[in-house]
Amino acid sequence: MTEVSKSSEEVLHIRKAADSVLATRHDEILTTVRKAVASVLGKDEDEVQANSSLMKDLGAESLDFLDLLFQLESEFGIKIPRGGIQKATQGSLSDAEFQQNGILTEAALERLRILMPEVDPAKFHTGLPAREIPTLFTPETFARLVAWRLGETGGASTSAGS
Amino acid sequence: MRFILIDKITELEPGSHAVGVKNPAMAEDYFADHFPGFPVVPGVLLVEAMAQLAGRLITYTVRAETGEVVLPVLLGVSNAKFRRFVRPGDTVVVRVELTAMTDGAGRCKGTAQVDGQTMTTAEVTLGYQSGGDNVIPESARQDLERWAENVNRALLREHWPRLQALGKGKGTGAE
Repeated sequence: MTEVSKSSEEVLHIRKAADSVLATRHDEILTTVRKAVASVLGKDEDEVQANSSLMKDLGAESLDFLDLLFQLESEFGIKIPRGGIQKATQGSLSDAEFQQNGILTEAALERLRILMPEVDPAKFHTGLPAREIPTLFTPETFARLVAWRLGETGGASTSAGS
Repeated sequence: MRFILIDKITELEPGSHAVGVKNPAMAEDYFADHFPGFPVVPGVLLVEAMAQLAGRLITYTVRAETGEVVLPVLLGVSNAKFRRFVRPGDTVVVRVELTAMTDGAGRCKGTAQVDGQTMTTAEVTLGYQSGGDNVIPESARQDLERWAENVNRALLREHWPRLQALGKGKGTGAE
């Protein structure tokens, strides 16, 4: 119980960094993310809706996520630190506190509900395998990821080289 | 034919860039077919040369940062342009610059030049398998050592002790 709340507080910090940027720049960021998704997946922009599942609706694979990350890094002049996403997701939870035999623990689900408010919380249900997390990713998820990085770096206007 | 498309690495700066040289000679088997009477280095081999050099750069970058030896594999090629023919006898200078790096993958911009003229440009994305000693076969480790010997000696003197020291720092928590 205490573990859950401790890890939740930690994750609230990330949530707030993203929220504060999204409060003013949500639409602009989302538009750029949708364009990037469309270009990476070779889709028309109107096929890429804010809440389309990149994997289930648009056929993305893990390699496409890599392309998308690199593209967003250069579009927004942000850096997603190595290990940063896992660190944000898992926080101070040990591997065993995060998942057991590939199944997310309650503490992990709690963190994910806070980190990914764009996803229906019911989808983070008991028994959800960790490997299925990426199936929940939507353009909103990546907009939030971008916002988090912009928030953490003070949202300074950056000049992305080339 | 052996599939080593960089003869010599002349610069290697972990986290930044690498430069290598390839001297395609008329002795290469493929010139017989590509093309009969008009020998041209296949563009895909120039891209492969970039990928191999990028693989070294990424391997050394990871090793410098974590001490881990990883196995790089080509995941993607984009924006490849074959601007001019590379002919037997040319000295091809391949340069790759690390433009992005994330968990388990890196991307490099590559150019291949002959006499200062850009012949081919491409972007290569490589993934790498990490996860400790059990994942990396001994052959990959030996390959890395062999390549290290290939590195220009002056450069070797400059970088190898540092890389080794960093490699040994693994697990001590020392940065």
